[in-house]
Amino acid sequence: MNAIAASNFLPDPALELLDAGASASGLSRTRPNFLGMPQVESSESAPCLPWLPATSPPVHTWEIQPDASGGTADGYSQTAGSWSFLSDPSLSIEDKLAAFMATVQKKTDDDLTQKMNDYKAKYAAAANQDQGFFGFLSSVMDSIFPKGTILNKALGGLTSLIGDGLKTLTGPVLAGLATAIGLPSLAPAALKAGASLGKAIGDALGLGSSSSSSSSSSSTKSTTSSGSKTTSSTTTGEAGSPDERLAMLEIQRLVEKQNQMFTLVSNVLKSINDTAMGTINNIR
Amino acid sequence: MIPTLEEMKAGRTLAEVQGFPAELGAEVARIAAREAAAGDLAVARGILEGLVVTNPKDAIAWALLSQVVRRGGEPLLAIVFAEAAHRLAPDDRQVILVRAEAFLGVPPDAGTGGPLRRSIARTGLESLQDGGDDVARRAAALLRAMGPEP
Repeated sequence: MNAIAASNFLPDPALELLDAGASASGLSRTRPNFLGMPQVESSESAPCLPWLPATSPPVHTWEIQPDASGGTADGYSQTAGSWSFLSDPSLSIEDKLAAFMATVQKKTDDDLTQKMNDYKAKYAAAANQDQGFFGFLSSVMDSIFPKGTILNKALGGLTSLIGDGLKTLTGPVLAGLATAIGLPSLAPAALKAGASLGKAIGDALGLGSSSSSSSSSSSTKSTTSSGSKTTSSTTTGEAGSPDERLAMLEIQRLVEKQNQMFTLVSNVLKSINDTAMGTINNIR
Repeated sequence: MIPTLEEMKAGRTLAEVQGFPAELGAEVARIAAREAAAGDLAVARGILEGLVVTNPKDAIAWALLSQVVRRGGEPLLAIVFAEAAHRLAPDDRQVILVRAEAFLGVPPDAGTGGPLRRSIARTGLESLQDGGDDVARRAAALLRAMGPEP
């Protein structure tokens, strides 16, 4: 069987090219010699293999050009920034209070928005990860073939077929794919989704739950189950957890701080107004 | 020993957790390539899937897997795997070649993006022409087969 099949694929120019390309690009790949002779290439390590010693990649030097980046004022003292009104002699105290109120309000608004974004990233994203295989599939497809890009357009009308193809993969492979495309946070969801999908397919085929899961990958189950046990006590993204309540309390604290600031400025303005009115009344 | 979910989220691979060395990964890839060359695509795919699970950051493993599934009649899945390899090693000449071949592996009349797929493949192949190695020769041959740009 191998001989017949091999006639279809030998010589395999693409794989030979892989060998040649590996040596040409300095990769330390050891590739088969199709004549049966062992062929070991000794060269530098491959930059694409993270387990290799970190001695190989050539260091590309470059010189920083501060002017080219346009610069940023983040982290520097902003004497002419949003607080400059405090040293402006042309402004009255009322104007300064109003400007102070506006500036502090903007700062607290920004803090509040940041906290809400943090909450969304931590807990809403965790909820999205529970959407199952289709949520994962959508995320992966959006990452590999972002909407509006030429890649997405090149696969116009074929994305559903690609989704069908991805459904044939096992959980660990999907998790690996998520890691490879830069979405390692989706890897646990992929493991779970792959396992549940394999079970669903097995049930649909009448294979039963045990055989269906074991046929796809027994390691999937062990990885998922033990991994879940390990992280169930340490995860910080669970809805309803103490951490989530703490995040909500933090948001609530910021809102109260904003209210306090308004009350403070309002009281100060009121006392200034009362003082002025008292003076005017005394003059009358 | 397997990575915890938190380690997985942080991008830590099974190879790193288990101390799986590069030489072993290269040897596994070599075995898979030999099986693919012998026509045992299912075996090669199984080996390579194990390799990408062990180290999802191995671009060459993804590229090999892309080749194997393309030969196995799944050109769309080959594009997905080739894109994964390309994300990991965008400058690797082999990966660029495999990606171009993956895009050329989808029939032009499938879907609406046939010309765009050819354009992506052509762009990749044109970047490989200089170099004088086998990758360059393969790229040049594919470009000649594609004919002039319409």
